[in-house]
Amino acid sequence: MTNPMTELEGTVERVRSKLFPELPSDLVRSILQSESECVESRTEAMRLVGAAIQAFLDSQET
Amino acid sequence: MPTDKNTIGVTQENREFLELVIERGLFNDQMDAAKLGLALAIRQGISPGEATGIDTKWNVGSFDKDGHLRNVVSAIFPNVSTPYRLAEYLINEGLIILRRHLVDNPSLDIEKLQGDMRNEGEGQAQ
Amino acid sequence: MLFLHRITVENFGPFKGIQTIDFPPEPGVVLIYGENMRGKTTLLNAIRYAFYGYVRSRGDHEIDLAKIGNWEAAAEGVYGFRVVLEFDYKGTPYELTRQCRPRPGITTPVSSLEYAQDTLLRCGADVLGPEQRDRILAQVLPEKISRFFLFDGELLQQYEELLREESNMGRQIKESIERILGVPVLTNARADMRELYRDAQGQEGKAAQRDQRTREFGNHHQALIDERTCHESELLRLAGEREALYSRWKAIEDALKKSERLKALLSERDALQNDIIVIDQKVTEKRARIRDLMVEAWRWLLHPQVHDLIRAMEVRIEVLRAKETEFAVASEKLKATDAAIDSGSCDSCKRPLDPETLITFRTRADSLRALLKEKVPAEEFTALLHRLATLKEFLAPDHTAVLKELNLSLDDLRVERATKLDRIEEIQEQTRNIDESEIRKLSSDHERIGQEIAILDQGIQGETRIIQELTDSIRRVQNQLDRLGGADLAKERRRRETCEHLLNLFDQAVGEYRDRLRSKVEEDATSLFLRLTTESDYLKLKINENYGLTIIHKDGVAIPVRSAGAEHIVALSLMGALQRNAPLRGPIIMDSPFGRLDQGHTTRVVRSLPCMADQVLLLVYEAELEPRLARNELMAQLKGEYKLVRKSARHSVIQPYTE
Repeated sequence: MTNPMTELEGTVERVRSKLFPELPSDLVRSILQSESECVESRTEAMRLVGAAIQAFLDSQET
Repeated sequence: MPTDKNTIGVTQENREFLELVIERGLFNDQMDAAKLGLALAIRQGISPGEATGIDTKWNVGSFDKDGHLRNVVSAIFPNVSTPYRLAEYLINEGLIILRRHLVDNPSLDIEKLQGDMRNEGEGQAQ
Repeated sequence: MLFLHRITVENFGPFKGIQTIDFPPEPGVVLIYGENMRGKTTLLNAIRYAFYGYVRSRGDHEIDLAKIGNWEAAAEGVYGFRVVLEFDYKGTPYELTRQCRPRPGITTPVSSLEYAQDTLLRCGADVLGPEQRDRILAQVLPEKISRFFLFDGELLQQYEELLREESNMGRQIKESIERILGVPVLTNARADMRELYRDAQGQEGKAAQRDQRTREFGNHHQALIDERTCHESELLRLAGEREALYSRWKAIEDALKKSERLKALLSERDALQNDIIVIDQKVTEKRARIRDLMVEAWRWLLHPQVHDLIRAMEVRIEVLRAKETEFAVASEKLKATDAAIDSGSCDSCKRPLDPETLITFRTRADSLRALLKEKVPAEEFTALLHRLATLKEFLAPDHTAVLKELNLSLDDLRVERATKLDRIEEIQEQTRNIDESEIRKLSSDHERIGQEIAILDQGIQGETRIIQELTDSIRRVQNQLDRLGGADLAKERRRRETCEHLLNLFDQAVGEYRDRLRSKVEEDATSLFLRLTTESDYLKLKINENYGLTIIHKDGVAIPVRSAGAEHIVALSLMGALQRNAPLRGPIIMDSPFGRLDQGHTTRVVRSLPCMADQVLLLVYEAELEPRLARNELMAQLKGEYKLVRKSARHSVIQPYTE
């Protein structure tokens, strides 16, 4: 049996690489991880995702 | 020579019966029931007589507006010189016949009445 | 991945005292045998209670916790109950304790209000705080998807609902399935990105406002964003209202469907009542007609006598008329005879009359005079004619036949009326406890809410259009800003673009994932279904938008109506397919899983259990699943056998299974 979470990540990665290659795959994975852990806790999810994006943007500037 | 009546009266019992048949919706007017009673009495072959224990109910002018009642009673009983007096008697006797009929036929069966009268008339004739 | 290691129950249902089941550490199947009322469903409920704090009855209603504690223990003064569940989640060991105890000061609790609940989650040696506890429990086995892990063979109709595209329950189950398949991870990511994108747009606008070169565009940008935010709030409000109304509408529709039969009865009753009104009107009319005819009835009754009189009169008149002629002739003859006698000569030949002839003439004259004396006076004849005319006038048409028809018709109407009244009484008996006004209210509410939804849809369309227009305007302004902006603006622009791309990525991914999932679920469910079914003519399962599965015959036609047994197999196929495709995996615990299945299907299901989940717990009775069959089919996959043994009507013990 395939790991269903991988299935989800796999689908997102396929779309990313095809349509949004400028988005780093580790950023996307990090967002999915946060969302998966915080399905019931939306505020926490938003905070984590926002932080991940900020970290990515900061890394672009340096 | 006796004079004829100018009113028609009914017994107390018949008075109540006339109210009942109107309540039951069998006739438009009590006069219609009274005339039917008269016809039933004639059909049954009741001999002429004199009504007793009666109270006046109608004036002959309103009861027999067209005079048919007087004419037919006179024609059927040519020897009677007081047709309304006779009619009053026949009405009261006839209402008793009608009352008996309604016990078994609450909605009044004219055809059966005619049949019964025919049989009784034939019976009487025999 | 959730894996159970041990369950301990204390005074829970029929399980008096402390009783434990140890689950083998390896993947496989555990069987727990128990006859009716020994506690099989209670064990399922114990797991449910541990995770969620409530217990469900057979009819899927929540049971008052005050009724859960063991009765024998309560009789001994021991109230309350406890469940401890030891499990691994994602490789981490946990111990979950949930208990229900009498509140301090209450010695004999009667209602659930007199109980307090405690929940404790240990991770290794540490006790977790309430927030962390709740967060982890919400992840381990979320309540909304529990139906796919805690399977009650009596609740199959829930899975049938999936086939009805727009049923309320169907939507709820669809949401549950998508939750188990991880779709919320993506839909939440999309929603969060939308929020962050909006925020980034706002930040970009503010940065534009701070820079003199771009202030005007910045202001315009901000104004557009503010306006769009208002419309988005409005759209959200409308959508929320619509969602709530739609749920109500569906619930009413479901209730109306249930009450269809009752509505039909009430409609029939209303129609019958109208019929009776019509019948009563007809009866009134016919009675009036009868009364009108009775005005002249005395005249028809006298027809025989009057006809006899008329006939007699007519005969007499004929006789009188004949006699009239005779009299006229006699009168002429008398005149001539008298003339002859007076003249002494014959009136015809003029010869003198001899004495003999004279005597003859005199005799003739006497006879003629005698005859003429019999003549009826003219007045009398006229009077007779008048009386005849009067009697003929008296004859009125005989309507006896018409009266007879009317009376027969009345009898028919009476019978018809009585029959309809009987039927009305029958219906009233059947609908006695029904609140008619409630049903009528449901109908009118259904219509009214439908109209409200239509209005909201129009509003939503309008807002959506406006939002799109504003978004286009914002984009145009952003393009201007991109050309004019400085470093600060560039930074915000990069944030905004990143968020926008992420939003579009997740938006696209949601659709693709859903399609892919449905396709995979269909494929996996079909694969499992074909292993479970004994019907060789079934080709596959076909999935709908709600994850409802239809059986497809080999001739390509969908099987329209399924037996309970087939429903069972399809439900199990879906569960197995979801387990294969879900990010969240755990044990399947089945209560009475084979109740509707024949031996053939039971064997196939047992054989396939290890494919459905890593850990399977079956709660069965021996007639349902023969231990020997189970062992033969499962072989090494059978990891444990237990039995629920009766000690008394209210006391069962869990023991390792022995023959």
